[in-house]
Parts: sequence; structure tokens; C-alpha cells
Amino acid sequence: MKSKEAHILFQLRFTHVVAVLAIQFAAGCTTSWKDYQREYQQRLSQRVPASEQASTLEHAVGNVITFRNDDLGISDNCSTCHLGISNSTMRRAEQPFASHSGTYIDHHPAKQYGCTICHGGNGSALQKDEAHTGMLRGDIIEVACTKCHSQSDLSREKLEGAPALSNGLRLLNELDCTGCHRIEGFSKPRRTAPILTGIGSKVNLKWLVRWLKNPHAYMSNAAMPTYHLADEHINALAAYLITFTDSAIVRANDAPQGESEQGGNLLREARCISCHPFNGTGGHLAPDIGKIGNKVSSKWLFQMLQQPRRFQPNTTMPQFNFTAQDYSNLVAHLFEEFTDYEIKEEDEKDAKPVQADAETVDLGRRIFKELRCGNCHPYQGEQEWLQLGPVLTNIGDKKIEEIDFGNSAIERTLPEYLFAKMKQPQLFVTKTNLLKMPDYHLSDQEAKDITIALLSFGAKTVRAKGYTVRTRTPAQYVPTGEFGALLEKYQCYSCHLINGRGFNLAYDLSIEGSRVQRKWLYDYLMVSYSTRPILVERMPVFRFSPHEASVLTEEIMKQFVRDDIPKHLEKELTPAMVELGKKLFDEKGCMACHIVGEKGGYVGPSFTIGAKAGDKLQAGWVYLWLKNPQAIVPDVLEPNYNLSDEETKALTAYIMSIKSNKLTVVSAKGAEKK
Amino acid sequence: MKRVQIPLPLVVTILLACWAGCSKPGNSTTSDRDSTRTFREIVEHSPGRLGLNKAELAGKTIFTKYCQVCHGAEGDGKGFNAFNLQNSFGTQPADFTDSTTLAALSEETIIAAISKGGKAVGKSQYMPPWGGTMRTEEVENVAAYIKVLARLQREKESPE
Repeated sequence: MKSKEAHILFQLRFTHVVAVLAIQFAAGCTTSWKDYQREYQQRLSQRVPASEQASTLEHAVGNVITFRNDDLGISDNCSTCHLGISNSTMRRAEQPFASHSGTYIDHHPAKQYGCTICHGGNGSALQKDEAHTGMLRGDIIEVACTKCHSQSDLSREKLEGAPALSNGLRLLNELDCTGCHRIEGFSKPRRTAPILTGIGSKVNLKWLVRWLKNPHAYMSNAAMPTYHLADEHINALAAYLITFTDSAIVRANDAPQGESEQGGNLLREARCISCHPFNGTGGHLAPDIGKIGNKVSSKWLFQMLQQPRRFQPNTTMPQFNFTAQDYSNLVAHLFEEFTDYEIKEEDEKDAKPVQADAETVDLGRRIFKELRCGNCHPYQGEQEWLQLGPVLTNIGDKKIEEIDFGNSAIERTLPEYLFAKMKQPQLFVTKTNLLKMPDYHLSDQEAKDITIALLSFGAKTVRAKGYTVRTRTPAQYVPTGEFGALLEKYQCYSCHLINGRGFNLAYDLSIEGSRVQRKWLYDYLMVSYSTRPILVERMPVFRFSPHEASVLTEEIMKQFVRDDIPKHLEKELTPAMVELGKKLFDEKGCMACHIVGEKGGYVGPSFTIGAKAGDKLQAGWVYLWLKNPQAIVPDVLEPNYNLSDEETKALTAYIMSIKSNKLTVVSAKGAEKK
Repeated sequence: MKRVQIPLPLVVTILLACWAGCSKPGNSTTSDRDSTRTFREIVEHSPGRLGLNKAELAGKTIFTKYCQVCHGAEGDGKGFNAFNLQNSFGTQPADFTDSTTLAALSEETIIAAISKGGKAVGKSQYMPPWGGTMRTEEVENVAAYIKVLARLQREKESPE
């Protein structure tokens, strides 16, 4: 009996041991959450004095920490192991002890949002591999931002911390995807593509054929995607488009004979290169015009330069105040210098005319309608706008079985499908599914960012109050009167941001009236120059009339001001401050970036070239700028020196003391010299 | 360490894809226009060909924005502004691609120089302090990136 009992006991014990071993083995022999908690406390005790540990150690070892937020509908146990997630002293520790990187946690405290709301994964698990199953890794995690942030907001303004998503959404707008695809919350396409009315009087047929075959092969920064069409279809489309003539151009006289050399001087003065690249060199806002001589008629160019908006009402191209002779000089120069003579010779040698009989033209018309060219290009007598592509509003929820992968060899997942569709739409052409989506020649990064943006369009959003970030509809800044008309004429918004409108290429003018002095501004408008050779984009010389320059000056000084900038600080500055300021200026090494006299760096504006700082700036603005440069221009390179009020005032006094009695203005040509 | 087994068909597919990519007639303007990378490969941050970790990658972005103008894109001290610094003050931005220079700099020194300026570590005052502009974490990330610049240079000079 006794031995039998002992046997049973032994068996029980054996089973127990085996069970325990099995459990431990099943757990993957990995460190358990309790071990992590113990190690975290150990690490913490090495960093934080014992007296302060009580406040940092919120949990005793052995407690599962469950986060729960019913508004968001989530609960997770992640903080059980990731104890240091909000403790910045742990930022250099390894996982699972490290604090969260970046500033995400400042805006989304873990105590309020938890972890799985963004990271995904299996929040209820307590074992590492199990918990991390299904987590979003890499940039794709940014999809989660749109649970609360609106996509249309992000398409207009970059969300810090979600660069890929923001860029993808921006590209959806820039590429005018809504021309063909409906996306709820997204506005209609901007339709900035060239107006096709009169295109037959603008370009030549040979160019048009070359262009339609592959715009990117022809122009470094072509915005038009490639439709991989058969040669005969391209011919037909070109033959049809060339019938769109502009009688005003046909009837107009030829441009008067121009002087190429003078045109060249004007080209440099007008800073065309700030926006237009010439065969890949230059700005990036406007089309590459390095081969313009092969493309357009001189008549059209001469007319367009004088009235850009007659040909394209929504163009960002400014109208210059040049004379007719100036324009013909410019045309002469552009044709002489920016014609690819190899292409020209080829075109001339290839005597075979492009077929343009009635039948071909009719085929071209049908192709034009089929491809819906008018969805991006406005033209006279348009057909009804129809978004023929799939609706993208819920594309992120699309099921695998709904996707037509065609004969492509890609992995059968939605992200891979979207990515491949962006990069190589031709992959999905089959006998039954003809290609409608053109090829945008995207880089890997662009295609990835757009894919992330598309994945964010789904039904998985947070609806709870207090979490959703509201859509702000920015009120468009529209100045009236002569001033408003001048800003439009010279397209100041193409480079300058003004009260939230325009581009951030040049200085934000919204507080310009508090930054600069009246006299300097007027002189600068009359003869514009650059104090920073580092920039490709520089202010063009528009040749404003004295009246225009004074209207612009007066309104800028009156309207573009910030009330909290002290107006009369200069009167408070004393010679003693100037002296202290000079000392600080040297000690702090300000001249590493700013030129004063003969010495200094080229990063920030020079204080003596062009205009002296004291002749140009207002003391109140200088003071505020020195206090915190990034508060005025968020991504400016100037370091914030954390200066005291006294130091700031002294430096302001010194900078304002750099002045001449007479304002010296170096001509634009002189400033360009290196 | 997990051993990754690459199945033969995959290798063949990749080789074929590469071959197809190479033989494609194209006038690509973007360098990776014809790349055959998948979404997953790109999105999971393959820290790229440079083999950088997350902190170093973040540091690289900040370095490019703030430091490149003097220290150069590769960190060789030959940035756009270096010529003027030499001409005006006879000082040269540090060359981090030089392994001897880099080895002599402790991480603490680099962090102090970035956040408090050159003067704080006995170097030129023309290296400004960035502690008021960058967060501590960002300063540390830049320092981490600087620490790998000599290695990156070596790998560039003699690729495997």
C-alpha cells in the first residue's frame, strides 16, 4: 500500500515537474515580464537617487499594467514591460526599457492613448512574440495618425512626425489624382496642366509626338505621366491636338527682331532660373525650358511672355514690366541658346510628315475622349468631367479577393498591389484589363508615401469627441484694390507666403512691415538683389514702376505687421549696449554665418553687402528674432542661443549700429559676383 | 541568431528581375525609377545600404539640415561655408571622416560641442551651440551619426 501511495505521489510529482518544464518551454524560455520589471527597477535605481524613486516607480514588481480607454475602444498591457516609455532618462536604454523616441509622447501621453492605438499588435498578450504579432513597423505606422487627423488637412500642411503620410497626401493633390479618382474630403483637381485651347499655335507637331511618347524622356521635370500608347495612336492624338488653333496668334505679327545678347542679360536679371530649370539646372517650380526652342513658336512665346495669364489663367508665372523690345530680345535669346540642335536636325531630316488625314484626326479625337485628357487639361468646348477611375475613399479596406492582380508576380497583399500600381501600372495590363492609369515615373519613396496615404483611407477612424483633430479650412488671403492687383500681376504668392497663402520658397511676408524699414523696402523693390549667394532662388528684377513700388511699400508697411513687436526699441539702445553687443557678437561667433565687412560666412544674410543691417531692419524685429529665431521662421538654420534680455538688447544695439548715413545699394549684377 | 534560408527559386527570381531591370531600355531621370524593391522592403526601413540604426538615421537627417553647410554632406569638413571660415578666421570645420580625429573625440565631447558650442570644449567659437534649438535626444542622435562617419567613408572608398 505504502509503496503504491509513494508511487502515485511520485507520479504526481513527476507530472508536475514535467508540466512546469513544459510551460516554461512553451513560453519560449524567454524573459518573462516580471524579469523585465525587475531589471527596469534595477536600472532605474542606478540612475535616480533613492529618495526620488518612489515617484518614478509607480508599480511594484509583479503587477500587470493594463491600459484601458473606452472612448478609443482599446485596452493593452504593453506598459507591463515597456515601463520606461514616458521616462526621458531612459531614452538611450534598449527595448523594452527605452522611452519613446521623438515628440509623439508629448502630444499623445501613453496614459491617455495607450500603445496599440498607433502601433497595433496584440495588446492583451503578456509574452513578447505574441504581443508583437501584427504590429505596424516602419513608416506604415503613420497610417494610424489618420484615425484622428484628417487626410485633407495633412495634404495641405505637413504633420510633424508623419512625414511619409503627409508627403503621400500632398502628392495626391499635386498629381491631381482627383482628376480621375473620387476621394471624399478632397477637393476637385487643380487642373494646372496647360490649357489645350490654341495648342496647335503654340507647339509643333514633331514636338508633340515626341512629347506624348514619353514626356519624362524629353523634360527633366515633366509633370505629365506617360501613357504607353502605340505609335499610331500617339500620331493620331497629336494630329488631333494640333487642330486646336488660336486665331489671335495665327493673325499676330511675328515678334520684332531681337538681340540675343541683351535677352541673355534680361534672362539673368529676371531670374528665370529661380523657377525654371534649364536642362536640369535651376529651380524646380516651373517646367524645364532648356529645349524650348524645339517646342514652341516664337509668336506664341512673344505673346505669352507679355500676358502669361491670358494663356493660362491659373499660372504661377509673373508678368514682368518689360518693354516689347525686351521681350523680343528674350525670345531671340531663348531660341538661340535653348534649342537642341541635334533634335532639330533629326526633325528636319525625318521628312516623312506626321499623318494628319481626317480619319487619323478622328481617331485622335476618340483617344482624347477615352483617356479623358480633359480631366487634367482644360480646353474650349470641354466634355463633361467624369472621374473614371475607382473611388479611393475606402481603398485602405479593400479586400484581397477584390483586387485584380493580373499576371503580375507581386505578393498578394494590398500594400504591394498599391505600390506596384504606383510604380509600374503597366504590370497589370491584361487582355481584358487595358491600362488606363498612366505611369507617373515615381521614385521608390514617392510610390511608398502614396501607398501609405492610400492605406489610410479606410473606415477605421476614432469617432470619440476630444480625439478627432478638426479640419481647418484656411481662409484664403485676398487683398483688394491696387495692392491686391499688383500681388496678382507679379504673382508674389508663387514664391512668398503671405498670411498663409502662397509658397514657402522665399521669405514669409506676413510680418515684413515689422521687419524692414520703409526706405530699404522701396529701394529693394526698385533694384532687387540677394544677400545670400547660397540660394538658387532669388528675387527677380521686375522693373516695377516707381508708383507700383511705392504702393507695394506703403501697403506692406501698413498691413503686414505684428502688434507684439516693439516699434520704438531703437530709441532705447545706448552706446554702452552697442559695445557689449560687439563683444557678444565676436564671442558667440556670429560671423561664422554672417559677413561683416571683409570677413564672415555665407550662411545667413550679410550685414554689410547690399544693405547695411542697420539700414534695413527694425530693432524690434531683430530683438524678437534673436530671442527665438525658430518662433518666426520654424526651420531656420540660426541657432537659438538662449540669450538673456540684456544680451539680446545689446546684440540688437550692435547689429542696428551697422549702418551707413547713405543707403548703398549694390546693383543686382554686382551682388551676383562671387 | 536566426539563420535565414533563402530558397533557390527566390534567388533565381531576384537575379532574373535584376537582369530584366538592367536590360530595360529607359530614360530614367530618377535613380530608383527602375528599382525592383517591394513596398515591404522599403517601408520596413531597411536602414538602407548604409547600415545605420534608427538613432543614426535620425541624426543623419538633422546633420544634413544644420551641420552640412560647414561640415559637408559626408562630414569631411568641406561644406559650402568652410572656405569662408578658413579665409576669414583661419579655422576649419572638423573632418569626421578621418578615423584618427573621430577616435580622439569621446561621445561626451561631441555632445557637449553640439549643444554648448565649440568654445565649451576648447575649440573654435565659430561652431555655434545647438542646445537651444535641438532637443537632447536630437543632439544625441547627431552625435551617434557623427560617430559612424569615418566608417561610412571607408566603406565608400573600398566597397566590398
